[in-house]
Amino acid sequence: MTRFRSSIAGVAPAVLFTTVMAALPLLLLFGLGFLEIDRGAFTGRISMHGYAAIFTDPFYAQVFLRTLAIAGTVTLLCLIFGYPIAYVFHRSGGVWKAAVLLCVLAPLLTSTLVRSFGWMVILGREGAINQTLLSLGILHSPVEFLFTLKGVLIGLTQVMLPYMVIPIMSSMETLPPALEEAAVNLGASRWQVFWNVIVPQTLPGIAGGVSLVFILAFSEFPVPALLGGATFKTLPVYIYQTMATLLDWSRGAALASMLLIGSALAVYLLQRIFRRLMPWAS
Amino acid sequence: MGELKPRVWLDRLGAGLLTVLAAVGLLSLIVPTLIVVVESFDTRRFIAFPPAGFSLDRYRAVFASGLIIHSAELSFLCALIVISLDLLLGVPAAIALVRGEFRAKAAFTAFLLSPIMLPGIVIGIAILIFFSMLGASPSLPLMVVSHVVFTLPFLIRLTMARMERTNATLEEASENLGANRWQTFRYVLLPQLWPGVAAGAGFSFLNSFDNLTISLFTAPVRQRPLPIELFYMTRFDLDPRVAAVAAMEFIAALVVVALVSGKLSKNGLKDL
Repeated sequence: MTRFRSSIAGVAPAVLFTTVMAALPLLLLFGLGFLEIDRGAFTGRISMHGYAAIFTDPFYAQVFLRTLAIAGTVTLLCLIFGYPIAYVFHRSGGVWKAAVLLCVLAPLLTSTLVRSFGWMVILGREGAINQTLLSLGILHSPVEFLFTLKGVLIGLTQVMLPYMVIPIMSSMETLPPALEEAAVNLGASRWQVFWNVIVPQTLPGIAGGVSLVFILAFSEFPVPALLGGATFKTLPVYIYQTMATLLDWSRGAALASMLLIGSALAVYLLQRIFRRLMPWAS
Repeated sequence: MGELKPRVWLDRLGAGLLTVLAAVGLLSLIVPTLIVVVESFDTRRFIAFPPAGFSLDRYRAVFASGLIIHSAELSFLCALIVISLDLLLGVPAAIALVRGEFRAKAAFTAFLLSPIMLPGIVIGIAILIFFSMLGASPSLPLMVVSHVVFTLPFLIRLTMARMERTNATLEEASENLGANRWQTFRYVLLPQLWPGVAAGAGFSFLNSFDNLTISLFTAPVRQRPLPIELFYMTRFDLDPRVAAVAAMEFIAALVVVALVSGKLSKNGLKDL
C-alpha cells in the first residue's frame, strides 16, 4: 500500500486554485451581463444592458454567424490539408518522417502572432505573392489579401493546421499494421485501403482534430485582429474592442459568455455527429 | 485482369491528390516563418519582398531598443513563475488523480482539466473583471495567475498520461525498503515521470511567454510583455524589428524541436 494512494491532499491545492481563479471568475462573467458597470466599478444596479444589445441588434447576430462560418470553413480546410499530411507521415519512414514531424511541430513553438506577421509579409500589397505574380506578368495590379476574408481564412487555416494533424497522426500510429496487410492480402488497392480501412479507423482522431480546431478558430484573436485589420472583424476582435476601447465591461462580459456558450454548443453538436458516425466508440 | 485497370488509375489519382494536398499543407506550415527569417536580414527600413540586401541592422535595432528588451525580460520572468506554480500545483495533482483512491476522483479530474475548453479571451476577461471587483488592477501577479489557469490543465494532462504508464509496485517496493515519501517520489517516481513533466513545463513556458490574448486583459499597462509590444508594432505598421524578434524565436524553437524530435516521435505523440 503506497502512501500516494490515499493522498487527496495532492489534489487540494490545484482544486482550490482552479475554483478561485477560474470557476468563480467565470460565474461572475455570466452574471455580469445583468449588472451595470461603469469603468470597472459596479454601480449596484441590475440592468439587462449587456445582453439586451446582443439580442436586439442584428449586427451582433451577423458577427456571430460570420465567426461561426469562418470557424467552420477553417475546420474543413484544415481537414482537407491535414489528413493527407498525417497519411504521408504514416506511410513514409526515416528522414522523411522526421521532416514531416518537424514541419508540423515547429510552427507550434512559434506564437500565432509571429506567424500572422509572416502572412502579412507574404500577403501584403508589397508582399511575396503579389511581387512574384506581378514580376511574372500573371497579374497587372496587386490582389488585396490583407484585411479581407481571404487573408483571415489563409492565416487561420495555417495556424490551426497542426492541431488537426496531431490527433489524426496519433490515431493513425496506433492502427495495427496487420489491418492494412490483411486488406492488401485480400486484394484491396492502395486507395481502397486508404478509404475503407484507414479513414474509418481514424475517425476518433478526426473527431478530436475537428472539435479542437473549431473551438480554437472560433475564439482566435491575434490572427483575425492582424490579418482582418479594421475592415474584417470576428467576434473575438469585437469583444476586445468592446472591453478595451469602448470600456463597456457588461457588454464585453455578455459577448464573452456568448462566445463560450457558442463554442460549447458547437463542440456538443460535433461530438453527437461523430458518435453517430462511430457507433462502436460509445 | 481488365477490371484491375480502373483501380490502378484510381490508385494513382488518389495517391497523387493526397501527396499534392500534403505538400501544399506542409509548405504553408513552414514558408511564412522562413520568409520572416529571410526578411529579418533585409537592409531597408520597411518591410517588402524580396529583400534588397543582407545586413544585421534589424537585429542591432532590436537589441538597441530598451522597450523590446524590457518587455522580453518581463515575459521571461512571468513564464518562469508560471512554470514553477504549474509544477507545484500540477504534479502532485496528477499523481493523486492517477494513483489516489478517493471519492469523486473522476469529477475532480474533469474539473481540473475543464479549463482546456476555455478560450483565452474568456479567461482574460473573466479574471480581469473578477479581480477588478476585488480592487486589483492588471499587474504581473494577475498576468501570472491568468497564465496558470490556461496552462495548468495541460501540464496535469501530460503528467497524468505519463503517470498512467508507471507501475505502483515499484513505489510499494521502494517504501517497503524503507524509503520515505520524498525519496520514493524523487528516486522512483520522478525518473519515470519526467518526460511528461518536461513536456508540460515546456508547453507552459511557451504558452506564457508567447501569450497575447489573455495578457491583453491582465498584463500591467505601463510595462508590457513582449507579445503585446509586438502586437502593437505589427498592428499599426509593419515594424521591421518584428521580423528579427520573430526569426530569433523561430530559430530557438527549431533547435529545441531538433533536439527532442527523436524522443517525441517515439512516445510524445501519444501523450498529446
